[in-house]
Amino acid sequence: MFRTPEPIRGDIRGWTILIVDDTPDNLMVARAAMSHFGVQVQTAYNGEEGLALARQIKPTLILLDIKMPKMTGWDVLKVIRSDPELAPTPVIAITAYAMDTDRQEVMAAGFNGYISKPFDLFTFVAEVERIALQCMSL
Amino acid sequence: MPLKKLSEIRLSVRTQLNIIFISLISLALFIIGTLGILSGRETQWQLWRDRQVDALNNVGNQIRSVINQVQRTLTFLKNIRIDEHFADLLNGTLQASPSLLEIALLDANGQIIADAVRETTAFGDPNVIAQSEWFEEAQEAPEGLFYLGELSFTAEGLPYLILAASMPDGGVIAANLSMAFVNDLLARNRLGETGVAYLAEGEGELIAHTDPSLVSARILLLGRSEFPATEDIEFIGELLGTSGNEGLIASQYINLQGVDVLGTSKVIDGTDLILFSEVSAREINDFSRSRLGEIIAATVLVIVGTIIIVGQAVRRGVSRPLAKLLQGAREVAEGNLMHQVPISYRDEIGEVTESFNAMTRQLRERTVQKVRQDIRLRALYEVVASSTDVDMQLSEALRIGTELLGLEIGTISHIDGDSLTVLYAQTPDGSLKRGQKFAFKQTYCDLAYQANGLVSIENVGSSDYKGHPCYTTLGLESYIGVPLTVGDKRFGTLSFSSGKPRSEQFAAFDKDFFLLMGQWVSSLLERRQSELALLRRDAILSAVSFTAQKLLSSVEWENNAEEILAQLGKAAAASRVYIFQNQPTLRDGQWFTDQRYEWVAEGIKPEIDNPDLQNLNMSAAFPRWVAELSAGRPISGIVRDFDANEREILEPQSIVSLVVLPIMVDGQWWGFIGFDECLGDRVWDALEIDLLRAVASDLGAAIARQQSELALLRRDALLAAVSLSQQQLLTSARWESVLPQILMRLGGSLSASRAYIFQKLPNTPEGKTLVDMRYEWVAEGIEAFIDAPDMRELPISDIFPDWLADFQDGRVVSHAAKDVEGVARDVLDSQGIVSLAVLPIFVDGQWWGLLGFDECLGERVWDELELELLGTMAADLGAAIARQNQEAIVRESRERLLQIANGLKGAIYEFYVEGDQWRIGYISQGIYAVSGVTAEEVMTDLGTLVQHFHPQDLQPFVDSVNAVLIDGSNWQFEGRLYHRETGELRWWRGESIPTFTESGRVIFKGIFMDVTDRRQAQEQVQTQNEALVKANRELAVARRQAEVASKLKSQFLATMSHELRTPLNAVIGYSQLQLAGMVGELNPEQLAYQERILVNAQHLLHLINEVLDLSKIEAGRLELAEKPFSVRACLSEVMTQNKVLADNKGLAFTLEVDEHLPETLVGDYGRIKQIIINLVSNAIKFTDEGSVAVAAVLQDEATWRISVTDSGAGIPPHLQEVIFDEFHQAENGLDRGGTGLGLAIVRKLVLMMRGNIRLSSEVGRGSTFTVTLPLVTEANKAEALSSSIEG
Repeated sequence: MFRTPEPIRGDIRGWTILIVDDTPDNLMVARAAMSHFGVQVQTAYNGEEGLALARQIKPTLILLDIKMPKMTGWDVLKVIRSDPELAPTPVIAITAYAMDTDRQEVMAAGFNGYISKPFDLFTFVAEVERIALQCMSL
Repeated sequence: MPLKKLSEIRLSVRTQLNIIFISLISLALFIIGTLGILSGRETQWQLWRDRQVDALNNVGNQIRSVINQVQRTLTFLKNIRIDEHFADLLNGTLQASPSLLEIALLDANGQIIADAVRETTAFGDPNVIAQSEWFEEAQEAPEGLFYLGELSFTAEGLPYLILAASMPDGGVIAANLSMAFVNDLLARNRLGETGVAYLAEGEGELIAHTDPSLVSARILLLGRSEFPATEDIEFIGELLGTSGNEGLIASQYINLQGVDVLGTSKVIDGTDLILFSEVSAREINDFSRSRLGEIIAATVLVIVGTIIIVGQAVRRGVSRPLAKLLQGAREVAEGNLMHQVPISYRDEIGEVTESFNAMTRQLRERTVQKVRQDIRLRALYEVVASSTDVDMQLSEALRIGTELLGLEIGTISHIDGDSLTVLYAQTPDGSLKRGQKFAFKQTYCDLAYQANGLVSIENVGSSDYKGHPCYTTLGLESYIGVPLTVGDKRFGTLSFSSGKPRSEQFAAFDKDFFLLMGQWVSSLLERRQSELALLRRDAILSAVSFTAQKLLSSVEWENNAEEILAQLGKAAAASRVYIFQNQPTLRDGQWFTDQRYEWVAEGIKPEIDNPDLQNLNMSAAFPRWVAELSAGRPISGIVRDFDANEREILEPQSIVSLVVLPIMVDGQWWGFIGFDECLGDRVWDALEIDLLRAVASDLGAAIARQQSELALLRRDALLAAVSLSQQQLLTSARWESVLPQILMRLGGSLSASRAYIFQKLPNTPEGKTLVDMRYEWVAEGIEAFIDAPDMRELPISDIFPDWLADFQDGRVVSHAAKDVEGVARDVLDSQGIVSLAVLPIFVDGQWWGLLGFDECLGERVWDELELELLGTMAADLGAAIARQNQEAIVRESRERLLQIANGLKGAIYEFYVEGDQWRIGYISQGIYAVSGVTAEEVMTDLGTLVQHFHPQDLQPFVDSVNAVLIDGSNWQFEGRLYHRETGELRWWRGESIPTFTESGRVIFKGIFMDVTDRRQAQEQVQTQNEALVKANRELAVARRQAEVASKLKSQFLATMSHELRTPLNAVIGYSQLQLAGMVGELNPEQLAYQERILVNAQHLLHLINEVLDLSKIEAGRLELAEKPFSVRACLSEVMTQNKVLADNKGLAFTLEVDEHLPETLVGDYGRIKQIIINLVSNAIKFTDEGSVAVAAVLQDEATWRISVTDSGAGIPPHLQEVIFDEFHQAENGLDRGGTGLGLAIVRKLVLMMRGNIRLSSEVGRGSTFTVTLPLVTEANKAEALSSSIEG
């Protein structure tokens, strides 16, 4: 029993998305799903690497895991928001913290969106696109 | 003047001899004259020329000597320091030099610095000077050479020359030398009847002439035959000082006045001035002819006279003086050094005699000096040898000096700036005292010392210093002084003086001796200074160690402060020693300080009561000091060098110099210790300052130690207060009754300004959090706010939004008001709060309110231990409130029980206490069953009952009643009695809520019952309770640990959830990728397996979510939303989501919604949906065929219900109860793939929503789960949420 991919507008095609996650499997899953929809995916295994890559490639948006060793997603976001070049980039938290309060905390910290793990691959892609478009239209 | 007279005599003697000589000359002249006339004009001319040469040399030398004199004067002036007295000196010099018209000192630009003018200035115009040739040449003149030249004329037509020398700075010192004197010289040195003489300068200008009218006519000689060509004049440029020349020119020519003359000219040595002497040729010729006869006659007369005189002279002038000389020689040989040989008028051997006399005088003087020197040196030596005490040596030296020099006054004085202090004095009348001060104009009075190293004035009245204050101040008429140096610096003066002029001059010998004495005194002074410094350091060192010892051996440094200051003051020989303490808080960023302690030396005015030294604004008055002292650096110096604002405070205290050292406590600037010197300048040397710094540092350490001890004491007090309060809370039935005491005790032991309790009110509809002030304690002088309307319903979420989160999370908030911003700051300021600490109180895990402490008097840092203790207190308070809430509930039910008490095994009673009187009003019949004593008996006499009480219970019983009377709490007592009939020992319990009437009577109404059974059962529990009371502190610790554990548990769950979800994401992701065909086509079997993986992973996720939900609910952390939602939308979503499942099993799946049910309700949409989904998915899961029906019905005005009915297997009665427990499926083998948590969550959620859930089921027929919920709409939200559904 599984769902077919939910219809997406297709704007996501051609975007460059940076995914920062310390779990290689999750990176791979997200990359596979994103690539399927024509997204240029760049990945990083930790916050520092992610920041360096973000400065280099200037992604359309960033998917950021919260719980990472050393530099957490909170820290990475703070740096992004204080960097004039990166600050406008939409950042979506992809986290296994799934409590009700976690969503509020994430949004309060300044993330543009929140997607909890585990996610459904297809709603995931659609959700990423929805949040990103919403950010861009603002 | 005998000397002058002697020379006159000598002249007369010489005249006599000259007569002989002249006679011979006359004879010679006669012969020569005769020969001359005979031998022609040439010889005659030669004679005249010799005379001219003599005259020219004479005049030339005199002019040269005048110039030399001026040169010396300029050299002297050149080496004098230029100060305010220089002009005086210049004027004096001009007055003393009659040939000078003006002396001026010019700077490098020709500007006049100083100018002494006799009548009119010649150096008036600086522009002219700067551009003039002479100025340039004078500037370039090498050291030792002078410029001479630039002939000018005064307004009166007097010629003058400029004489100038260069100054090291490029300036010039110049003098105008009048040439008027040359006229006189020339007049005196002209020869014969027709002779003329004149002086010209190198370029031919006439400077002087025996006929001055020619000078006025400004006749130029250049070009005339007698005037030499410029190149013939041997002079070195126009600079003086090189060797002279002999250039003499003689010739016959027609002179200026048109006369035929024999003329001789000469260039004056080292100048370009040329002298001329001329005699007319006619006179020379006439002279030789006319004087021949005269010469012959005179010669004859001279010869005759000479013969007579010589005979006389030989007798009187030689024989007699020789006899006297011989006698004189004998006298001298006999030792009479006073003898002088008389010299008579005609003494022919006068010079010999005079030489003899001079020799005798010199011999006498040498002998006297030798003797005197011996005496003086011996005296000095004795002084040196007699004592090692420098003071005594110096005084003695003065005494001996006055004696030996024959002067009455001797002083050793110290010069500092403009003042002179007498250090040692020897006077006949003691009029000069040690320490006496005089104004001293060093620049003038001391000028002579600098020039000569010694000043000696025999008679002030006739010296340059006549009337000068240096001497007139003390009325001195004779004076000898020498400068003293200590450590290569001018220290002062050694001088001897007298009020009377001195008849004889100070001999060179006196001066030598005196210079020697000056050196010796200097060395003694040097020794004295270093000895004094050493002594003082020693004293300070011992005072420092005294201080350190005192500070170490004492608990409170203040006890020893005065003693320490006195010790330090004496050791440092200070006038005043003091300690200032800074006020602990800055005001508007400024330091304020107060004088705490002071010691003053004898005769010094104390300043301890000076109001200016209390509450002194250091930052305003001594900004420089604040910068230095707060950085730990000392201040020292002479007050008159200080800034004006500092002097304004220091000078009225007569402080002349001071040193101030900061006291640092724990690295903070605490205050300072200072040392004043009021009697004189004192420079504190580095070692002294270091030693005193050690004192300041010891003081700082002692204060720091004392402060930390105080802090410990305060903590102890707080610990005691907290412990006592905990005890009180545990033993008191009503926390409200003891709270005022507790607040007072805590506030007092913390020395806080205010202590208070706020209670949280229910949130407003807008979600605001309000709190009420319930109790308050304020320290004396602090404003109370308990009655302020602001403290009612204080919207804490608006004012302190940041703190609210802290409170809710159980964190203490402690702040200084200055760190708070916005509205919060305004509120704190309006209550005068400077800093505060507020602790949340939790009751049964819910945030109940706040326990807070304000500090209004100054900033305060709440230390961690304090906050921890207060945290314990807040926790205990929460526990007490919780316990009392429980007790209140129990009491309510007891009241209900009381109504039916008559039917119970026990009695209802009413008894009164009024003062000492205890009276029973009523007791129900049940007392008989309990005690065997009838109600009537008891009502007659309470004692009939009390006498059966267990003896050990009597006193506690009385105490318990008294305690109620005191604190107004409810009465409860359990005791034992012996049943009158059976003799059995029974437990009884009495309870009542006392009523206090206005008349002072206390009415106890309550029950008295037999609790033997319960008591026996609970005895063990009781024992444990008592143990618990004793171990209250451990309880508090345990409580904290439990809280930590609870937090850890939540943390653990959150982490677990996170850790489980992370891999699950990968599992679900990978299987979805494969199922979606993103990695290629799968065969049917693979597809099916992947599907199972996905289904299982999703089930696992579901399970995780449910475990999480359940633990959140259990932890009380789940909060339900209260928002409007559509019931129908909710139900249809559930239906849609489950339709596939029902369809798969072929079940009829229906929904029925009561049309009366409002469209919109208020509640937690997500959780209601979760309840329904759980029930529906359960129903589908356990139903294999038939139907699942969902219905929503409006039950009445206050409730609605949802029912889910299935046609499944049904649930046997014994399982109907446990089905709602967690994991029941596993135990009962009912696992059908559910989590086993669904129903447990459903029930907990329903209960949280104040609803209930019921199950009706029959095995084989099916089950119906009915959830009844309060009907909450926008309209009735407020009341509905506070009610709950019974059952």
